[in-house]
Amino acid sequence: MKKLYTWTNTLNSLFWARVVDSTNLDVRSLSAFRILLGTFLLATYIPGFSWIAEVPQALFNPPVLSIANLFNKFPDISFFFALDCLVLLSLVGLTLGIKARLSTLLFLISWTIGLNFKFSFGKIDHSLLLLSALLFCMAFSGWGRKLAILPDNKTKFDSTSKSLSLLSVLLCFAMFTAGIIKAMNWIDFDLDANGFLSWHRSGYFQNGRQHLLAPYVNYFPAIVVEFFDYAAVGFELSPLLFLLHSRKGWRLWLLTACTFHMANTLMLNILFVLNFLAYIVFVDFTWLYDKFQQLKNSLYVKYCAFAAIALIVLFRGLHIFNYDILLSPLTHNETWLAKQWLDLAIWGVSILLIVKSLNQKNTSDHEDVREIEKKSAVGATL
Amino acid sequence: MFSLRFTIILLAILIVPCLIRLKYDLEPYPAVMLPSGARKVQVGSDKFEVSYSAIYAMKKDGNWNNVDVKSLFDPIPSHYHKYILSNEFGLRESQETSKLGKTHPILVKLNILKNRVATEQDKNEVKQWLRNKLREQNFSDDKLKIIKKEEIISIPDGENLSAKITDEKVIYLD
Repeated sequence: MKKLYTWTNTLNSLFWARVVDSTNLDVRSLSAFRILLGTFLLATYIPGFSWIAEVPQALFNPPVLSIANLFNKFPDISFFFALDCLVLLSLVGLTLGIKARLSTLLFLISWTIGLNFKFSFGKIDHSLLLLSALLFCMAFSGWGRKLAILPDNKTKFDSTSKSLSLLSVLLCFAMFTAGIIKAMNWIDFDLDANGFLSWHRSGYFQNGRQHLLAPYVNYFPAIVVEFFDYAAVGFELSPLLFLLHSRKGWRLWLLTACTFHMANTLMLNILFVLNFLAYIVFVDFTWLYDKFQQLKNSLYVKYCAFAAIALIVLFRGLHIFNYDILLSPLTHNETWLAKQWLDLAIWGVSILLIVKSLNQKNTSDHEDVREIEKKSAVGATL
Repeated sequence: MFSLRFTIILLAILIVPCLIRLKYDLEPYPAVMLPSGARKVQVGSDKFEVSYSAIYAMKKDGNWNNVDVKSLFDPIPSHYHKYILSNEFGLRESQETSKLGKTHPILVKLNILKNRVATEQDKNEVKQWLRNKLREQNFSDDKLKIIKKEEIISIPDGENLSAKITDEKVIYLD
């Protein structure tokens, strides 16, 4: 029994040591990434939930195993107003580094609760899962210690290496849950039945997803779409192998992920754009940190940054109380097309960033790495 | 680094929701799970069957016309529409819950599975809401019809080859 425990403990240590080696980064990189993430979310995605209070109570149908199921009906408008304000303010706090750990957790909790009520119309939306996992892990990464107006104090709960390694494992598991069922159905060596085409046709004929390359998919030969089935399964079941292989291996998988999403946008018009944040967090942004360090000495840049954030907060704040204020002048179709082009641009930039990072060495904080090596050595000798 | 105890707890947190979904077809939220979408279609076929629900209401002239679903459901996003329609805007007893309750009585006992039947007040509220929405589109506000359709579409040119109504339900709002 003791031998089994020792062996398992050693395996555990070796596993995490490999994962850390593949993912670790300097906390400066994450601090710069924090600003990037916050700015992106402020500019393009701030969830609003006040509209839910307008909806009749009879439509309340929450997921059975969720916090919303504890309620008998949708909460009052004041609840959602408070939630929206908390979401907005915590996101600003995260971006500017105002006690970023607390801000991140407040944003995550309020956002999750709001989403829970949004999903109470009968469907859970999975497009935001990876962002949730990212925020949860980053809250304990120490990313609020630098480039921050009110920096976090260093605590025993913060660890850049642990946060990134946990996030990578969560990514691998999430992909596995999608890929394992696909593998059982799509790996059939049958050119007459296809899974990729089921996604394409239901989107194309039922949901109006007929932009970009979607019309041309109808002409793809059977062998090509069959290859897509196997490629999708391979992509979703392989991340752990790449993660354990090497640092370069993990980045290769992240590059594949971005390419996969880009291809989905082109051929299926399916947008999962927020996922890019969960992939590029593994890119070394210490160059961006150095840039921010230079820029923060400039008063002009500081004023511009604060003005931009103040403007965003003003508009988003007004939107909480008046949903029509952010109505787009574009038609529904034009908006949809614009989103797809933005999606493509984001995936293109992500691909470039990851390609650039393929040959980068581990620039992580040496203190963190020494601690990991020490623990691995202790585990191995037991 | 992470201890063995942490790893075991992490595995439990990740795997248990998956097992619940597999066994009971209930998905906890939040949970680390992505949908598989593992359906397949016939490759060689040049036809594709789509099924959807449409909403009709009566104009002043007595004819049934298609309702603008986006405006009707506003501000609810479009990907929730079919779930609301399958529940007839909360105006019918949730049979799904009753079915689950029969096979999983422990969930009912623990008050996890609730028989979410709308109260009279809730029903009146949603009817009033729908009446207002129909009036905005210049429809009569006393009733609407949910029609489930199946269409066969030609894949090469997108032409509608045939359509049939598989279900029709009138909902009275007065």
